[in-house]
Amino acid sequence: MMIEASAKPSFPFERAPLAPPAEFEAIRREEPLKQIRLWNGASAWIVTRQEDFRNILADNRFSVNPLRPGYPNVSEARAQLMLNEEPTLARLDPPEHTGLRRMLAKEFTPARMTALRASIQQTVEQLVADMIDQGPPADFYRDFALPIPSIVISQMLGVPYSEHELFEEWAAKKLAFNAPPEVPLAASVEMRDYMDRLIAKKERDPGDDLVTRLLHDQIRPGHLSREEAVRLCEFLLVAGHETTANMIALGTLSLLLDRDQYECLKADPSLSGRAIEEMLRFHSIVQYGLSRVATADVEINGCLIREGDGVISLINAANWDPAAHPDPDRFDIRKKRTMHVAFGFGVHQCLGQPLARLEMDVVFATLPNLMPTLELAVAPQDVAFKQDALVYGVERLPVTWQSQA
Amino acid sequence: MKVIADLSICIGAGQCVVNAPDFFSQDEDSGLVVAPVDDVPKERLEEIEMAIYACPTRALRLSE
Repeated sequence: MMIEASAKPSFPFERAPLAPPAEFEAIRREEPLKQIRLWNGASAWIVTRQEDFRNILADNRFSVNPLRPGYPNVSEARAQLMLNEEPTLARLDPPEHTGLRRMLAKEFTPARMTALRASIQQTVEQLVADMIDQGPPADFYRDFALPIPSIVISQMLGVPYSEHELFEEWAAKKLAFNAPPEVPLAASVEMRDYMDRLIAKKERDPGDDLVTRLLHDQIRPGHLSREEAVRLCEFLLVAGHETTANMIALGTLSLLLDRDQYECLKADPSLSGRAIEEMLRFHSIVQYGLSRVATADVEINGCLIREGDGVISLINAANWDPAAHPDPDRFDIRKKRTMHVAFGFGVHQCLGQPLARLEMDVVFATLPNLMPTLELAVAPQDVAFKQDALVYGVERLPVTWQSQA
Repeated sequence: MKVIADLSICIGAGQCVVNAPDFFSQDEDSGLVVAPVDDVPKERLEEIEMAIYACPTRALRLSE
């Protein structure tokens, strides 16, 4: 027993600044479903091949409910949040999940996204103009990458953007990985109180926004409880800005580290669509995987996963699986597109992905021509990365450019 | 060959529309997939297979 327990490596593994943990490569080759040991001594499986990743997440015998025994929590702070926060969308199984998800699906259709494009374009151009007005250097993360999704999700939900510092801080605390265990939970309580007040405000003063629509179409007719709406809106606000902000910053960083690719996009902005898919795949920012617990014995790729076993499907391993992505460790926006799993898979696949793609597409089709001389203002090794976040990114991204006098 | 959609498991993720926009669309009221393809043109099969592969709930399949 002792020998078996100590043979399981501790999870998570240490990553490189711009690459997943080096261990994944050998694990994927030798033991693609592997048992690891978590912070609390519990065992769980990690999944490193894209095909297994897809098969597990599309299989409803794997539950996303953190209250089920065996559910793998990746840190103590995450466990506190998972066990104590009233669940919503991302932590509910079908059929409970299905109704909520469908309630929101119509908010993210292509037609809705097309309607948003012009205003996102305007936001991007305005933020670039502000940066240029201020003159170099700038913190690209604080002055550009974060405000874009933050402004967009505020407008969509009907949250006053003037309060962005409040919700950005709560979101960062909620996504903390190794913070004192009470930190994410306290942030969640504050953010839900805030959303409750926002819904009350929309009752008095409706707007053309998602929260008002939920109020009219779902809460008032009794399809959705007020409490559930609060949880749902709070979830959308967190998920809607932190992730995309990190992708805009890391995507830009990758282009600047290989100048040819920035130039390439400048010469042909229509490459943007392909570029963002490569960014999503390469950076795979949800870095500690998607947790599930088996509700039955299931065989995956010749490996028997028993009822009650925890399973962590790793986005940053699946997206670097050479069987699905040739040359996975090379970032190249000119590569032939492959089907990545940066947004997950199965019924919980990211709801907001059309919005994330739209924001990124506008940014990367526009930025290289608006800031043709953009470059890093620090040496690449001096870029500070988020060390304690469920969603990876930069702390700051100092940039400079040649100002036109 | 045609594409069959299982609306009982579609969640409206829109991956079919992203991958084969000429063949799939989403209902504006429900967000769910509409107009499954009745006659798959051979030369466009790859595109449609991509859409089927991308569907996160595996709600789409090809049928004779």
